Amino acid sequence: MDTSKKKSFFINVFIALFLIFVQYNGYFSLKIGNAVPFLPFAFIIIISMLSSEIYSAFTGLVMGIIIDAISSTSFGFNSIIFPVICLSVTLLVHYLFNNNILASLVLSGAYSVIYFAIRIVLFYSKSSISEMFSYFWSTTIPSVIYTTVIAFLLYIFEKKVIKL
Amino acid sequence: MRFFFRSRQFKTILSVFLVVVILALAFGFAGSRMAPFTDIAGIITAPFRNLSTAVNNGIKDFISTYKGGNDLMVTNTELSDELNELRKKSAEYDEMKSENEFYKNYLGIKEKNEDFTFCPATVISRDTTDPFYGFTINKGLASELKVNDPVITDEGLVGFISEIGSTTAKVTTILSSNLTLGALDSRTADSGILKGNLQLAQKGMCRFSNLARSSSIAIGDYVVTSGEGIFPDGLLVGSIKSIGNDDYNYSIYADVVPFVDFSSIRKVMVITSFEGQGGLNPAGE
Repeated sequence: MDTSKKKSFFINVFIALFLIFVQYNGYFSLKIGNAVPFLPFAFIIIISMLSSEIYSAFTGLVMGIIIDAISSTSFGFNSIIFPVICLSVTLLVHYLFNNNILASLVLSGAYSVIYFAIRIVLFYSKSSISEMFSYFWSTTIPSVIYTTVIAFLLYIFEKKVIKL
Repeated sequence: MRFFFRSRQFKTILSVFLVVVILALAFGFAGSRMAPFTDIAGIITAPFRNLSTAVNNGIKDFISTYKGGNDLMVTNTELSDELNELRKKSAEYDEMKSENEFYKNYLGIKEKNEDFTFCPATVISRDTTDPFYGFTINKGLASELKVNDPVITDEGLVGFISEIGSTTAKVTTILSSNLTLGALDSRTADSGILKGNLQLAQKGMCRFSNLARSSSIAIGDYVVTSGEGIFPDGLLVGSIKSIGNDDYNYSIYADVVPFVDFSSIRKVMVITSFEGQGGLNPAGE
């Protein structure tokens, strides 16, 4: 690994840990109304856009395992879904999308919707359909928008980190 | 893209992924145990989470003490160092005092329920994306905790342990739709089922339903556990905020505000054993 890659790797590790800390510390959060940004998720989407397939899949796996250990989701949900999301984002960016800010907005928005929808179906399935829809519109959609905004900012930041 | 799917890279990713899926599912279905990789990540990250919790608590306590004595700081700058020292001590004293208060309150519960065995635990992470305020505590199998053990604070019932690792455990709160528990109105002894749902959880409430139409529950009544399910009887849950009829007018329900503020819990007690333990599962099945 050359020096610049090493540098960006360590900066990314630090950013990942910082975002996990902000997300799960429980004493302060970036919550605005019902909207809660999913910071580590925004981070892995952006990392996946800017990495190779294998790097993004393993980043997703490591982040998924750490988040499974900390968050309230169970049965290795994030360890399973994060690598799949990361790998598919990388493949889409390599073969279908241009790697630009617009793609970062579209991909983070679309994948956040998919992630939260799967989570609602799997973990809140004992609630009624109307409750799930109401939750989706009142909380999930604002959270997706918020996460997308964070992803947009992270994309700009990551582009600068890569150039270091 | 086709070349990628035929490459060795993809085969490596796929095999690691399959191992992760198999392990996660095997451990998940075999008794709500954390998968080994999640458990190891939990063990590795636990000290950091403990540290971040301690730092957070320290900052919070210090700020609250600092705010209280801000005028003194302005008028007497010469004594600021000494004052800061005293404040630190005062914060430590307050923490010890609240800790004593915490254990004293549990002593009251313990005196009323001699069969209870407690294990104190600290909240080390909270999932802000969880609408039911689930959190993780710093005790696990190593402290003889088990899945479905009830979790309480001195204010009342919090929830139960839904997933467990060696040194950490995940707590599902009573706001969750995955938990159904038998409950009683403490004044009238009317019994029903307490369950959370997504909409009420956003307001920090849960629903006490299946109450007979003839029941005489009233707003402000206290709701306690009935002893059916995984919880012992007599644990305080919350107070009734509103009463309504169910969709088919067969029974009535009440919306309950739990006594516990789930967003600010720092310390909890896990009831590791009690008389009659091992009833229905958390889903009430």
